[in-house]
Formats: sequence, structure tokens, C-alpha cells
Amino acid sequence: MPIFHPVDPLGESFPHVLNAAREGSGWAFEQLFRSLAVPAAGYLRAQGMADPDGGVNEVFLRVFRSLGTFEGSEDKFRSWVFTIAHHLVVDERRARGRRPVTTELSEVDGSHPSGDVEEEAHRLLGDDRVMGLLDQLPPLQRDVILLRVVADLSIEHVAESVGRRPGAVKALQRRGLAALRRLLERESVTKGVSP
Amino acid sequence: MSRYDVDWDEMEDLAVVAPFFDELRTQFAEGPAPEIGTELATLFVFGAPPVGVVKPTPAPSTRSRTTRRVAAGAVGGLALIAGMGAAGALPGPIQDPVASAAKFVGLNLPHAHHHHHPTPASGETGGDKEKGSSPEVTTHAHRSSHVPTESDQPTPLKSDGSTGGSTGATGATTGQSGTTTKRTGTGSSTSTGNSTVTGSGSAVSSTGGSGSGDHGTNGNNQHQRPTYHGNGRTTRNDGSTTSTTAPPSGSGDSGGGSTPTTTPPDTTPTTSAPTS
Repeated sequence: MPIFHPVDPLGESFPHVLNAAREGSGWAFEQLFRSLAVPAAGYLRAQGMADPDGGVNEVFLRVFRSLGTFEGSEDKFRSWVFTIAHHLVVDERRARGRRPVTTELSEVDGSHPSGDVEEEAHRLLGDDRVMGLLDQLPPLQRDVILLRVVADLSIEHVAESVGRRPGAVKALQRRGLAALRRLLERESVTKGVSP
Repeated sequence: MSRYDVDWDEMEDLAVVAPFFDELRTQFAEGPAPEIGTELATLFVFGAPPVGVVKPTPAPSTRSRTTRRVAAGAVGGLALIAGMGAAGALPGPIQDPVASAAKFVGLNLPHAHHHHHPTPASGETGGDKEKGSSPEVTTHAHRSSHVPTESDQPTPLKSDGSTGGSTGATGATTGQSGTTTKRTGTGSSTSTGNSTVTGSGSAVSSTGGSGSGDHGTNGNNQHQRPTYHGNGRTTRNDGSTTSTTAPPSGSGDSGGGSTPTTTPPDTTPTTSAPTS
């Protein structure tokens, strides 16, 4: 499988690339994919999706199938892509709620919380530290924080993605910030260092 | 800091959380590029059929759909009523208002025809009941197809209640569309056109027709003319009755089982039945 490296935003060439993609040009699809694939995959990973790479492929297949219905700037295209990604996350979240999650026993060994607070804090300090903190946020606050930080969307675009009003998104962001601050301060107390 | 669009009171929170956000961005927004699946790779190499710009059309709201259905139903109902009204097929109580309403918009719809089925009045059982009853008479005269004849002269119907049992028909005219509906408490009869059906003691109403039976009450007018009775008597305006010898020849039905034997009214000065 080829690995594409992310590219900078398309900028002024975006309308040309978009029109070429509508005409079915493969290179245009690739350009659009490369411009947003990395943050989209990061967003899916941060949301705990089991197969983020497969999710990104699914997101862009949906994008390219519906390209005829899109009109707008590159910012709006970015928002549209993350809206589709967010819908994919919500779908998987619902599916996960309906069916039990199966996990290999080998993956459980060594990662199961021992119940010891110090050991749990050390685990959070590791690679799973960020994910551990995000997991403690309510789903909506987590969505808003990730769409703002990872997807780099504006308040208005986040509101479109999650289907809420901008005021509600700002309130969710405020509560998410406060919750993260409390979590980080609690973590620093556990570690004995400042956050 | 300002890129997060936070309020001033959130700046303190953001100052604490900012290192976490940097870590979050480094770990997820700038991570490794995802693997490309077969379907996407094929798309990148071979492209796809061109797609036109499709402007999404908003689905009609439930409200507008309901409004359309109601409007369609109303239009259909009006068309049905108008069609039936033009054909004169509406029930009588509806036909007249519809015809009246249609006049305002320039449509000339027929009015309701109240078909009267002459019921042979029993000449012996009706009794002299009219004085105590107040019959309600509803008359609809459809004049559009009416051909005036002499016999169309209003028939005075003054009941003195003194006679009964015999009926007579006077005046044979053609094509009379006058209709009269009469409802009485006891012993009712109706007349259509020229024919007069009377029962003994019952009220008779007639419009446009000539002749009358006993104890007629004109629902249409109150002409002070003597009334010729089929049994050879004529009722004057003052209620007195005179006898005649022969009734006029007419097409009226006979009620009460007696055959008129009176002379034509024109030969008898004391009768006033219209001649024809």
C-alpha cells in the first residue's frame, strides 16, 4: 500500500482541484485526500475508532461519491470532510453500544488496570495518557475539543459538524476546558509535579 | 491562545490545558499518514466518471405537504360539488344554496326540483282539520322553463273547512313546473303543476296551477278570488260556497274517489277556476 505524506492546504488551487475531481481526475482525488487524510485519521484515532485507517478510506470514499453535491471553499470542504468523519464516529459509537466489544486476551494481559492509583497514573503518563484523559470527558465535550484542536475547525464549523448551535458549542468547549484542567491538576497532584 | 475562541474567563483554563493541546495535536493531527485502501488507490490511478454539480433540493416540509394535500382535497371537493351542481344532482337542500352561490360568480346552475308525488288523499278520512293546524308551506317555483298559460293564474285557496270528501281538478294546462310542498299535521297533499290532489279536509296548495281541491291554501299568494271546487262548489272570498253543475275538464287527479261532474267554470259565472 502506498503511503502518502500530508500536504499543505491547497489554497488558491483548491477550486481547480475540486473541479478536476468532479470531472473524475484521479490526481485531483489524491490531492484532496492528501490534504486532509492525516488530521482525519488522527481525529478517528483520538475518538478511539478501532480501525482509523479503514475509517479514513470510508470517509473519503463517501466524500468522492458525494462530490457533486458540494460547493464552497477549502475551509468548508475541510469542515464537510470532518462532518462525515464525525458521523462515522457516531455510527461506530452507537454500534459499540449495541454489541459487546470483543478483545483478544493477549491484548488484555499487562494492560489491565491493577487498581493501584500510582500504577494507573504511570499508565496515563505513557502513550495512552492523552487518550486516558480524553476518555474521561463526556462524549460531546470530547467531540468539540477534538474537532477544535485536531481538525482545527472554527466554532461555526464545529457546530455544523455536531449539529448544534455555535453558542452550544462554545459552552461545550468551556466545560471541556474546565474538565480537562481539573483532570490535569488532579494528575499533577498524583504525580507530584505541576501540570 | 486566541485561536481557540475562548472567553477571557477561560484563559486561565486554557493556560493550564495548552500543553495538553500541543501534545494532542502532535500525536493526532501530525501523525503518520493513513494507509490507502484498494478502492481509493484504484480511484487515484484510474479516476472516476465525471459527476455534475447537483444542488441539493430541500425536501418539502411536512407542513407544506399537508397544506398541499388539504388544498388538493378542497379543490377536488369543490369540483365535485360544482359538477354535481351543474348537473342538478345535488340533494335539494344543497342544490339551492349552491345555485345561489354560483350566481355570484356568474354561473347559472339549476335550482332544486322538488318532485312531488301526488298521494291520493283519502276523501273520507282527512276530516276538517285545517282550522286547527298551521301548515307550513314551502314553495319553489322554477320559472325558467315555465310557459305561462292562463291557467297559471294564481289560485285562490281559501279554506272554509266546510267541505270535504270530494275532489276535483280543474283546468288542463301544459308544462307546469310549479312545485309546492306542503306539510300538514294531518292529511297532507301536494300538487304539482295543474293537477290538484285533495283529500277531504286537508289543505291544498298549488302554485301556478289551475283549479284546486277542497280547502286549498295557497302558499304562494293570497289572491282574493273565488275557488272552484271539483265537486261543483265554488268558494267565494267570504268563504261561502256555491254549487255548480259541471267541473271543467282538466287533467287533475281526483282524490277521494269521486269523479268530478261539474261543468266547466267558464260556463258557470260563479266559478273562478281558470279556464283553459
